[in-house]
Amino acid sequence: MDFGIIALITGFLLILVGLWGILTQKNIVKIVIGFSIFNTGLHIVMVGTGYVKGNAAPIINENLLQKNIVNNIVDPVPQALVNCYCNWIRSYCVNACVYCEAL
Amino acid sequence: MVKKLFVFILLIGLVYFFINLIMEYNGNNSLNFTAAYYAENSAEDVGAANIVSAVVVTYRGLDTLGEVTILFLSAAVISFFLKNQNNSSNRNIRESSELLNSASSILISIIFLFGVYVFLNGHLTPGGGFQGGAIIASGVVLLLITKPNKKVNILVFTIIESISGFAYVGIGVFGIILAGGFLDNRILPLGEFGTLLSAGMIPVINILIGLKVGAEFSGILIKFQQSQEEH
Repeated sequence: MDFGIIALITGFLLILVGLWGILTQKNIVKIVIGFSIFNTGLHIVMVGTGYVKGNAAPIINENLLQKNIVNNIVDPVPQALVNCYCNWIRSYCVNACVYCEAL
Repeated sequence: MVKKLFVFILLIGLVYFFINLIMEYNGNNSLNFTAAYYAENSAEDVGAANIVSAVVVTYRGLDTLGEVTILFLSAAVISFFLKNQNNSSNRNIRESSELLNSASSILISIIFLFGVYVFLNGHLTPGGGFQGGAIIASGVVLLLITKPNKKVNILVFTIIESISGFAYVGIGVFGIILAGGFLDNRILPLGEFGTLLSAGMIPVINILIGLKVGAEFSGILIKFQQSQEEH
């Protein structure tokens, strides 16, 4: 069982928990928390799909410079995407909290 | 009851869908075209050890500017909606306990230091401007919890945020004039690979993003705390 499968299972479980929270809770703050858990699951799935078996994180060090970099790192693009997307979602969560406050 | 049954059926359907997805997953054995390009060229082009940081700040720098703009927009909308109530009304909040006070005075400085470390080393280790800014904002949360009666001047945060935002766009425009394009990091020399003063403009941009995000989140949280007086 490699890391890709573990990340996918964890992410899908978190997505289900978050969706359950969004659909069944009455308190609006709890709905926002469910939304946040849902997004965490999405991020884990996105990073997990970029995993290449047995490779290291995309940070170049002396160890990697001696070998071929392309064949020894995982995909950096989903990680960069999550880096940006996370912030975007965070601002929407804050906006949702303002809605709670206003209601 | 019907609603709960409906939710249950929906979740069971999703579980079935996800199990199919997991069964079909069989890993990737090599990087795709884009990722291979970034992996091969980022060391020479950008000079940053952290490829994710190189992608976020330089290759896709315009998108990061968009992210910062979205965050700025949400902060602006929040300060529009949560109007500052009259400060004359006294809120009688109990002072926090001695334990919380002395623990927070030690912890807050460490949290701020860690945030600064994360965005200063964004081009070498995992992290970057956004993450460091969020850590600094979490330090401000602790400050607001331990000293609930203290009036915070929000003007300082607004000034820091505006200056760093302008400087970020200014660096981008300088990139057009002095280097290859908008937000190009080769304005400064790339330096020795893997040291703190390397990767051209990336550390400066990370510092600016970190300050801007930290100030924005702190401003939002202070607005929240001040608007509690309404209820």
